[in-house]
Amino acid sequence: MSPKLAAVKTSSAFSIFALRTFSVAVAGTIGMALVSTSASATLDATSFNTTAQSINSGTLILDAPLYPATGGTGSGAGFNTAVSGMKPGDVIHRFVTYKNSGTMAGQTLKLWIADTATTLLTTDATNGLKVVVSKCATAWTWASPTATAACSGGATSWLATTALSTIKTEANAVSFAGSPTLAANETVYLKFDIQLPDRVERRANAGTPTDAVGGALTGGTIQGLTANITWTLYEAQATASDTNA
Amino acid sequence: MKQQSVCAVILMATLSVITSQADFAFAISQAVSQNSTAHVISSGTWAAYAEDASGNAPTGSAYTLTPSNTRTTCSSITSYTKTTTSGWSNSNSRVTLNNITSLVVGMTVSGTGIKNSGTNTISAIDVGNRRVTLSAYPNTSSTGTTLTFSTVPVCVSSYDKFFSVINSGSYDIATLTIANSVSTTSGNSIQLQSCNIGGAGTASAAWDEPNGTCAGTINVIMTTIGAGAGANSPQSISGYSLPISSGGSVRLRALSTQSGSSATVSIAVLNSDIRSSQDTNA
Repeated sequence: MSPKLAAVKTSSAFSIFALRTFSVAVAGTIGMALVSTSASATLDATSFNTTAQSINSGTLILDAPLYPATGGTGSGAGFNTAVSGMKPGDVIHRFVTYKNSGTMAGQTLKLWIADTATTLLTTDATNGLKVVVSKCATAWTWASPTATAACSGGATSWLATTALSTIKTEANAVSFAGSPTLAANETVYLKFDIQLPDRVERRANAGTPTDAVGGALTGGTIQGLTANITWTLYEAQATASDTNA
Repeated sequence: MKQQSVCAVILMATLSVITSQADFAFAISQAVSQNSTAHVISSGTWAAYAEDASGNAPTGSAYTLTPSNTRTTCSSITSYTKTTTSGWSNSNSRVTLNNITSLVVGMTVSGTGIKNSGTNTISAIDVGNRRVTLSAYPNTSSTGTTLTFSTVPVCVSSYDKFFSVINSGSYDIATLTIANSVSTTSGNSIQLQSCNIGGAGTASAAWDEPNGTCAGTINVIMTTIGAGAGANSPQSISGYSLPISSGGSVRLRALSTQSGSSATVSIAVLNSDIRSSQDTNA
């Protein structure tokens, strides 16, 4: 080996030694740094969008019942209007507006009630209260308290005659006919026809009420009872979608 | 999961403000809407009963009363003037008259020349011959004699008691079922009466109870004739028009033809006795 070459080799050997020493040191430093975040010893590279992708979750909101629920001549306070002195055979109508104010559509609409009192009014399927629900796309109107309420465009039956005793608690909720849905921000106008079925009760000398011929009343009298009803309307989010864009 | 939780937080915050609720235990979102103030629905009551006074509470049983106020009514004297025609008969104590209209057995007869004038009475009437037989002979054979026939005043006693029918229900009552069972000797009766400004069902008029008179019209609700003590069948009338407002009362009178009799009055109300069913908006 020539001296030059030897020198070079010597120089190269030194350089290699120095490079190795530096490399070990750098590698050690980098290795120590990487140990805390990754087991990988490889170098990573990333790519990201410079403008954040906006992803918003929707909302599912049913507003509290709104009153008054009618336009035109009639105006009502819905469920805030108490009913006193209901007689077997009476029917009272309450008009309630519901709005799906969320951004998601609702489906699986159903209804149930709760009653803080326990009387025949909400425990007797035959003689207790019954309800019929009709939906209108616009506000119901009526000319007088005894006039038939009108729905412009025609009403849709959501619930046929149903005893309140059968829809107490969420477990006994009743689904509306036709599986109606509520679009985002949609408002529906519901008419609740609440009936106390007709039945003959005779009361002699202000004593215990009986049937028409003096026999005992099944389940007791329907007179002088009070129900405190919470009406609950339920909706679930519309079916989840799976889409490209 | 993170996204769902964020959604839950957003929904919860929103829904709590508007009193709606959401349940996120499921994989789907749900929402409910409820009336925050309970919807109160009450049924009314219908009931009435009879009692001495409106302040008396109901017993649940029929009301028994004894008409004890004595009322004496005397008939007034009514006279009819007749003229004799031919056909006198002193031996048969008969006179023939121009007509015998309104004459009844027992009337007194008076006139010039007639025997026992003023105390002589009709004992029989022969309608076909317009001839009356007197208790004493006429003592005259004149024709064209004017005779005066008069009724004999009669006083009759009856017995009454006033009582109340009380509406203790929450509805105004339009009609009632009233049953009356009486205890009298055979043939006597007890009548239930109302005092109205007009016919039955009109507004009540005031009784003058001390004097047993009515400021309006007395309407007879029913007359129950006894068949011996307690032996008669109760008489009942349903749908009798006797308007009584809720909490109000009306006074009725039980009028008996016999002292010491009693009546048992039962009042019943059906839902058909109050207002008709209603169909109302509010």
